[in-house]
Amino acid sequence: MALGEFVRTDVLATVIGLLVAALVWQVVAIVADATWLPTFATIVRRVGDLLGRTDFRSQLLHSIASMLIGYALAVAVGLAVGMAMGMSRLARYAFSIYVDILLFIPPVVVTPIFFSIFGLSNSSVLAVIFIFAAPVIASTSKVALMTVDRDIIDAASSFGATRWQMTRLVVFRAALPMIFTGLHLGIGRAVKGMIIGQLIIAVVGIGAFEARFEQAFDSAGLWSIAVLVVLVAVVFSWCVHFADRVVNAWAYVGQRQ
Amino acid sequence: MSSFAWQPNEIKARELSTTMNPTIEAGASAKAGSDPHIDVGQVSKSFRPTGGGRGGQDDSRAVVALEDTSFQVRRGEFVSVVGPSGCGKTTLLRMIAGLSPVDTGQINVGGKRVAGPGPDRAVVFQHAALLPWASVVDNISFGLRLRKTPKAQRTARARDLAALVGLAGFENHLPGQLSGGMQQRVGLARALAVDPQILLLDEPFGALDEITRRQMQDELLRIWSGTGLTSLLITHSVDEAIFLSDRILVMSGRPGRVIEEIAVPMGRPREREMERTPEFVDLREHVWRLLSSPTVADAHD
Repeated sequence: MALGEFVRTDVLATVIGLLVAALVWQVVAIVADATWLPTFATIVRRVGDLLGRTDFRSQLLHSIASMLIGYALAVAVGLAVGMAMGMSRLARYAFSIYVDILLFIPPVVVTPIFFSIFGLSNSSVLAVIFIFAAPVIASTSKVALMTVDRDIIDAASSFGATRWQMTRLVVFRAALPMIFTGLHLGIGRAVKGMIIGQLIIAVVGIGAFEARFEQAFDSAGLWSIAVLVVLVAVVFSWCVHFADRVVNAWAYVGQRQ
Repeated sequence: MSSFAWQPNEIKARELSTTMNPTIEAGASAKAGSDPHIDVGQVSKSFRPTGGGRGGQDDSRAVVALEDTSFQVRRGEFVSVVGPSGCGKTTLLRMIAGLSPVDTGQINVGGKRVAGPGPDRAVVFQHAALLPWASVVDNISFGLRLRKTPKAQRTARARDLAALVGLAGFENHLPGQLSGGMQQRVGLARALAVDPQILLLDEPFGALDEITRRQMQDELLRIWSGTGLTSLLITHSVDEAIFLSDRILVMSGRPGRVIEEIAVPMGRPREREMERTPEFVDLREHVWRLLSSPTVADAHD
């Protein structure tokens, strides 16, 4: 009788992995007995305390909202630019240099520029999130469109597909799995952008809390923020992954779970 | 180019007369008309490596794929093209399909010059080229969708064709859930769905194992014999070409050109037993000798 008949083994394996990590953390913290490493149980209690505070909940929601708005902008612009680059040689020549620069330049370098433009405001944080996420989405979308199977393009051409039909019914559809890879990478970078942006301005969101805990040498507080950020990242990563599985179900046919 | 009406030693006197007009008389397709449905006239094609930002082309490094290639395919005829790798067989088919322009010469289909893909032609590709996200029915009806056929109508036709190619019960499967042979059946049904006059087959069974390949050849013959479609098959398999065709065009190595047209002297319907007849065996030997000759085998190196 197989275990898989009763529970989803993939979910079970993930849960066991997380429990083992928590256990290792707890043991190492007790053995090390260092002020910089609180026990896992302490962190869980502290996260609970923080989530019980209205001001923290409000800032956490504010941070998530900023991240989602910045990410949505990055998806819209990144997809548009990436698709243009994937389908037009001229657009590729025009945009590639900027996308490459933004991909490889450390965002911390460009972040101060946004602060000088938008001041210490949420607009600066949105700009940082956008600049973290958009280039990777654009770059991946470009490659996704450029690597669509030539055979299916020929097949559609042989039936007289118009340019619009080719784009909508064939190229975009075929490129979607790789576009989702970009969206997946993008959501991770958006979370990073949210934290970095808020840490630098240190007046809004959970970045403000993190800066406060840092100044107070509150290691449990810092670890709690880190755990919450990881949770936010995991939840949104899972959301994108779920959307990918729904939209691109065909790409997972026959694949092992 | 020479025209060759294959004559086994035992050929009967009546069949000897076919040498005068081999492709009509000896080509056993009773359906083949006399008018050229596909007319390829002195077609040449080169491929030039594209340059950099200026989109320039380097003529000095151009590869001549086809040179002065001419032949005709009559209405309702089944013609196969065999030749060594790289001799331009697929390029030829793509140009007839309108997927690639000719450099010089011209191709007429049904008396009209080919300027692009058209509803009179449908292609079956080597690797099926199915939409991996679409079901069998949606793949078969894809060409009809592009031509804005109402959904109910195209779905009904797709279901009928799925049954015709032996895929009843698999209508909602995705390509990834089908074997290679089944995928090619979908590709064939997709081509038939748009009701073409010409079927262009680009090594459709080349990637299949031998057993599946023979099954697919039988299926193709069964379906083709009921349609009367003019068909052009690109293949590497001499046996396949003989078994399926009224006529075989043998191409030289690169630059490719038709060096011999061979009328297949066997009647229809074709049976597997025919593969053991002296006619079949001798014709196979003849084609292989041609393909092994230095002018054919080495020209592309």
